[in-house]
This record gives sequence, C-alpha cells and structure tokens, in this order.
Amino acid sequence: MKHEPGRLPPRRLDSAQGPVPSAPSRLLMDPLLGPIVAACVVALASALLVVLAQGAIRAVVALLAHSLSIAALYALLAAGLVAVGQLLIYSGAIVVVFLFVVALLPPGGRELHSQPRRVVTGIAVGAALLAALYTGLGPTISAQAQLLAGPAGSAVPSGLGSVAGIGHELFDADKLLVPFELTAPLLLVAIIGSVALWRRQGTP
Amino acid sequence: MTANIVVLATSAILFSTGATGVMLRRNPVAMLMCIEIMLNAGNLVLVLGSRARGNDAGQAIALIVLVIAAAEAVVGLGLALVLFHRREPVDVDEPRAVQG
Repeated sequence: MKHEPGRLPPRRLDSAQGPVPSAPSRLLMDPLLGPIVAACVVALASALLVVLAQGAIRAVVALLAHSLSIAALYALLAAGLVAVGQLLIYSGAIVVVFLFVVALLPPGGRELHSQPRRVVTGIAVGAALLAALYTGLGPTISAQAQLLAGPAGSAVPSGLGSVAGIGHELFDADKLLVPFELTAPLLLVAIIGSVALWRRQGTP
Repeated sequence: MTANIVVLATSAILFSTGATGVMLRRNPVAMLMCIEIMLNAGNLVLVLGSRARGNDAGQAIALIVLVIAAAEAVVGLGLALVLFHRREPVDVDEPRAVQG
C-alpha cells in the first residue's frame, strides 16, 4: 500500500488508536462527493434507459449520455487521459457507429416484444449477479476499508494519470507492452472480419 | 459512505443492469449496447482501483479495454447488420447455424 509521505504520520496515529475512526478526518467533507454522486446517478439512469428503451434511436442517445457521464466520472477520479479516450473513442466513434447502424436498418425490421420467460430470466440473472458481486465484494471492501475510505478530493498522488506515467506503463516491456501491441492486430482483424461479413452477404 | 464506495456500488449495479439487458433484449443492436454498459462498468472499477492505489497501471489497462470495446462493436454491428438484412422480424434466437 503506497502512502504519500506527508500523510503517513496521522494514519499511523489512527491505527495506533485502534479501530475507532478519527472523527476530524472522517467528517471532513469530500469536495468531489457531490459531483461523483451526480455522475453516478446519471450513469445509472441512462443505463436503465438503454435497457428499457423501445426505440433504437432513444437507446443510442441514452448510451451517449451514459458514456458522457462515465467520462465525467473518470475525470473526477483523476484519470484525465482515460476520460479523453472515453470521450473520443466511445462518445465520438462507437456511439456514432451505433447511430449509423440504426440509420441503416431496414424499416421493417422491428424488434419483437420480449417474451415473459425472457423478462423473468433477465431479471433473475441481474439479481443473481448483483447478489454475487455483493457477497464477493463485501469482504474485500471491509479488508481494504482504509484504502477505499480516503476522500476522493485529497491525497491524490501527484502525477497520477499523467500521460508520461501511463505511457511508461504501456510501453515498458516488463509491463503492458505486449497487450498494447496486440491491440493493433486485433483492430485489423476486426476490420477485415466485418468487411468479409458484408461481402459474403452481398454475393450469396 | 465515501465517494469510492459509491463508485464501486455504481459499477456493480451497472454491470448487473447490462447483464439483465443482454438477457432481456432480442434486438442484436440493443444487446451490443448492453454489452458496452458492462464493459464500461469493468473499466470504472479499473480506474477506481488505480485511483485508490495511486498506480497508473489500472488506467493503462482501461485504455486497452477501450480499444477492445471498439473492435467488439465493429464486429458485433457487422453481424447485426447481416442479421437484419436476412430476415424481417429480427430475433437473436432465430439463427441456429453458422456457415464457415
């Protein structure tokens, strides 16, 4: 666990006092809590809209709102470069590709209504996943409480999320160089695959 | 209840919402959008972990996941378009055979 040097002495004092949380540091209002909660609410509401919307265009616009709120969350979590990437790749490219596909759909191709069996299955799967995540994450949260309890506004290590730091992670041969280079052939294969799908469709 | 816990709970709920949508919808384009929601939820946890640990690795992996999501959307939307042009009422359960 990494600590900023300046914050180490008060933490030691806290742990020496036992599990009782130190009141001043806990009651300190996190300046970013309000914006983070707002972005979370927008992300959840737009995700629900994506799942429940009947028209395809409405779902795409809800997906756009979702990706924008996720980008805001990244920016609030000191991940500026990932926020910019989310804006460019998700809101800029992927959502626009979805819009193109919805516009290209033949007009007769309406979605059938979901059968009750499918609705029940979907809700059951969602509830089971949520329960599994809760039981799985609960011990982790209590074990890492000190790590997670820090207010988001303060104690950001300087330089976290900088282009230089992320570039160091991506291009270091001991870290993420191989996965990063593998994304290039992945994109190439994806492009060739989609073109091949469409050509075969055109000449049956 | 701190901001990190709020974000963690949000991403868990987002992931199960996306999974519900994948099960619920019969339109392949809508299913792909729900998969994008699930990918976003995973990415959010990566960025949150990077923030909590003060380590850049999570953000670097999140960028790679963004690229993978783009590739997945391209192939999935190509498949969906082919499906939409084959038959009029589209149902993802309908096609049963894959021809190489």
